[in-house]
Amino acid sequence: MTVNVADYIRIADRAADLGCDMPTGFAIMPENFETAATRRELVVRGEGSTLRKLLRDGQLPVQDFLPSGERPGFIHNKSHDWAAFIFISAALLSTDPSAVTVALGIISNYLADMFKGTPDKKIKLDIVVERKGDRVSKKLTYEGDAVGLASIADTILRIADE
Amino acid sequence: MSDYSKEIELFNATVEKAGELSYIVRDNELQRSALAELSALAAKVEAWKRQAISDQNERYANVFLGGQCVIEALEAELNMWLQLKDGRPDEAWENLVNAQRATRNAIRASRGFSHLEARATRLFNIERVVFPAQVFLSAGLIVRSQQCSICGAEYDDCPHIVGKPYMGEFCRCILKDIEANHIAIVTEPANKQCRVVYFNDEGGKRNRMTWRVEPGSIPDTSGTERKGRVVEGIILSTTDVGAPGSKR
Repeated sequence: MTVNVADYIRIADRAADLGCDMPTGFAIMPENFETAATRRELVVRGEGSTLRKLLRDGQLPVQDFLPSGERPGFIHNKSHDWAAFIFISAALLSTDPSAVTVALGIISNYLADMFKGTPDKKIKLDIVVERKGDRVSKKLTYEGDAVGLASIADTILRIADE
Repeated sequence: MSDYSKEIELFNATVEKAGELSYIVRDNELQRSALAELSALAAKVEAWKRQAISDQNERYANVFLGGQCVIEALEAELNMWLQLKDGRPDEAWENLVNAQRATRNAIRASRGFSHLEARATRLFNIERVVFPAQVFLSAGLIVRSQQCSICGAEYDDCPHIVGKPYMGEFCRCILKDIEANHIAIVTEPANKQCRVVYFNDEGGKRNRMTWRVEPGSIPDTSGTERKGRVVEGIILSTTDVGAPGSKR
C-alpha cells in the first residue's frame, strides 16, 4: 500500500474560473480539472458515477462541480481495475469530519465485495482535501488493496487541520 | 415457490465431476465429454433461471446466474487445458482470463459461491506458473453517455450499481457516444485479454506467447520517424462486460 500527498490547485478559485459550482460536501473530481479550458471539456472517471451513488446511498452529502443539468464526459481507462478521484470540502471537514471515515468504509466495503476472487488486485483512489484554515488543497493518492483504504482517514483529517 | 433443491443437486454433481477433470494430465476425451455435459447443464440452468425470474424469486435468479458463471468458468478452464495440449497457447490464455472473470462473477452473483475464492486463487497461480509474463495494453475512452443495462436509464440517474446482480442479471454500463483517447502499456490492466500478441523481430514477427518467430512483419502505420518496436495486440474486448455468454 502506498499513500502520497502532493500540492494541488485552489479548488474554489478554479471552480470560479470555470463557472462551476463549489461543492460543500463530497464531489467527484474531474480528471482534467487543472487543465480544462472550459467546463464543457471536463471529464470524470467512469467509476465516479458508481462512487457518487454509493456515497449518496450512505446518506453522505455529495454535490457536483457542474451546474444542474450539465453532465461531464466519462473517461473509461482500462489501466486499473478500479480508480476514482474525489474531493472533500473544507466545509464538510469542519462540520462533520466523521463523514470521511464513513465514506472510506463504504468505498472499502464495496471494493472488497467487488474484487472477491481477484487475488493481489490493486485499486487507486485520488482524494483532493481542502484544508479547513486557508482552503489550500492537497492531493492524496492511495494505491493498495480495498481493505487498506479505511486506514487513510487519519491522514485526510491531519491534512485538513494543517 | 420452489426451493430448487433437486436442480441444485444436479448442478453440483455435474460441476463436481467436471472439476475433477480440470487438470492438464486428464484424458482429452473425458474432458470433451465433460464439456458436452456442461453445455447441456447450461441450457437447464438458463431455464431454471427463467423460472425463478418468472416467480420473482431474486435469490434463486441470482443463484442460477452464479451457476451460469461457474459453468462458463469450468468450460473455459477445460478448454484452456485442451488448447495447451493442442499447442494453442494464445487461445488457452483467452480461456484462462475468461475462467478468472467468470469465477469472480460467480462469487459476486450469490453468497453461495463465496467458496470459489480458492478456485480464483488457483487460476491466479496457473497464470503465474503456466504462462509467461504478458505485456498488457489499456485503451482510454471518452464516453458521453453511460446507459444502465438493468433499467435502460442514464447510469448516473438510476439506482443500480455496476457489477451487482439484479434478478439474474449483472448491472453493466453500456457505453455510448465513444471517442478513443489513448492506448497505453500498463502493468495492472482491467482486462488481461488486452495484450501484445506479436512484435517485429529479426526474421519475422515473434509471438510473445510461444516465442516462435513467424513469417511476415507487422506494418508500421504510425507515420512517424520515431524508432521503436512495432507490435500487434488486442486493445479492446467485450469479454470484460461481466455477462455470462459474452464473447470477444
